[in-house]
Amino acid sequence: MDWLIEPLGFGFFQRALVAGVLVGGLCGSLSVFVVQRRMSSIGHGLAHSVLGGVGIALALGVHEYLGAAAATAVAAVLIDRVGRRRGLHVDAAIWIVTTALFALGVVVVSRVEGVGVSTESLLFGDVLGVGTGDLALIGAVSAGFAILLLARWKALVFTTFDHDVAAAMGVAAGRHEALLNLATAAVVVASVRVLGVLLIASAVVLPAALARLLTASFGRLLALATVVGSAAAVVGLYASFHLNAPSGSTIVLTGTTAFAVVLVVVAVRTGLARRRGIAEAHRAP
Amino acid sequence: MAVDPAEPAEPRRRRVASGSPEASHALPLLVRDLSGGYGALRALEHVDLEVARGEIVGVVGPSGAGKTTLLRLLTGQADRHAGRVEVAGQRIRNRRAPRRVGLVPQLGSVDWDFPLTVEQAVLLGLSADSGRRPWFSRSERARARELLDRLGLDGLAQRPIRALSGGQRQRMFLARAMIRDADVLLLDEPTSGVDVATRAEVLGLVGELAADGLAVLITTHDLNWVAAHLPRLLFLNQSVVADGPPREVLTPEVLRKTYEADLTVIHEQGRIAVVDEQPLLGSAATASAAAADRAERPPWTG
Repeated sequence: MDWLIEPLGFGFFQRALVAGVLVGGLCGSLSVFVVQRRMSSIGHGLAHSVLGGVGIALALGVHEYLGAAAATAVAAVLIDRVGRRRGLHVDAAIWIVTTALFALGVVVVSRVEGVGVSTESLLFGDVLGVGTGDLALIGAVSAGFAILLLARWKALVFTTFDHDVAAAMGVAAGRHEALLNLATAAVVVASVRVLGVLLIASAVVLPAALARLLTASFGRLLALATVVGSAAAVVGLYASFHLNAPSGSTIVLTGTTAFAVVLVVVAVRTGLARRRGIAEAHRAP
Repeated sequence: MAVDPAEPAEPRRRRVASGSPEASHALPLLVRDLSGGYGALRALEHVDLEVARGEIVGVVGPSGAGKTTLLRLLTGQADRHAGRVEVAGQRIRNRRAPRRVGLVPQLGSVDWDFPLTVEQAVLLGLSADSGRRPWFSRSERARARELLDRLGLDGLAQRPIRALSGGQRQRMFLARAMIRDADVLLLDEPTSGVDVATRAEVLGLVGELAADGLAVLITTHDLNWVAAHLPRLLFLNQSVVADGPPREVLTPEVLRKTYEADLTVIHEQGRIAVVDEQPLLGSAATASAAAADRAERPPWTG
């Protein structure tokens, strides 16, 4: 049991655990909308763009979260503008815009001296770096997203299911879509410290993908994906502590392992049920 | 039945609260000199249309004729440049979804793997009017169950939507469209990608709903299907080409103006059908043989 209790004796691990549970649950609940809207690329893209914002913020001496938020906002607007050009699809726009911001971030971070932030921690997460300010931001974004889900649940589900019909039946679908995009940007910014720029995309896809294998109800999908996200964060943080590996990587690997196990179990169960059905059909008179 | 596009605009009507005795006598759908499209792009011009309770109108025309734009204008999803739309006596503002219009989308446009049960999918139709709480009330669920029973989906309420057949999917969307006490039902290409039995099932159901007092607008590419089954056709090609019973409006002239192609109208045993006599394989003999075959076995026979 020492491996379980020992890390809890460290203040940084306690903070990381709280941040991990919140970020995991936050990304897990958001993943349901990201996956069902087939917007996996946007999560990946926005996370990449964060690096550009953080780099410029560090160079200018302003808070990195301010830069990250500005970068996601700029990226969202540019993706919209570039994606509207005739002959360009939105996925091309996502990669053109966000990899440019990512590259800008790499250049700026490597050129700015004495910023106290390593490129590695920005890319792969830094469990040791979680401070009170990070926790406050994560808590605020978690609370805001929870309020959005509770207050606008029906409209969000309808917009995600069928944007056009939702709008035709009185739902402000455009506004709810914008709220989801805004929430995605906020979650990405809040998760950077724990997960790192490169690994957020997985956290906003995997929990819903796993939960989708187990349920066909949107409400249960949300609950399950939230639990999966938080659980993966807890297991991943312990692995990060004991293996001395970046927290983002261990959290993502935990989620991926769980997904693979559930995928195999569901496939085996489906195969067995099919065989049983065929055998019963043969036995029937 | 045909509307004269030159008719002067009526004076602005007094707003009538839906549900009032006056509203119940108002036309479910009244469109006057409607023009619109997307931004500055105009896709439809000078449309006049009145649909009474119990009436079913088939909207036909080639791709890009403005059929979908008409539905989008009626549901506030396109930009109205001019004209007026009234639903049950209530004037509808531009870009606003009317309260009492239900839309049934094309089945092919829907993500059938979306994790919803049949009952949940129907209840989503109430999203705009239901309270802020994240669940639906007992009375709202009872209303959904009542509609599912009425449309023959009793017992399927807790099934995932992907488990439904084509006809059951259409019924589910009809229930969703009606759950807001719709006066007008709009069906977007209900015959697209469904088999003959499902088409018959949908038409039978729509007929029953119209008999209960709903006004119904159906867009379709299937000219022979609507000509054989619907009492009124609206031909669109950026504007209204003709509007009336199939026997009056299904003429080679109207078809030429609508489809910009020479099509033949066949009247046989009291039925009416349209055939395309253009050479299909570069051989006049093959084309006339195919046309003769089609004439002998009209499309409504399936």
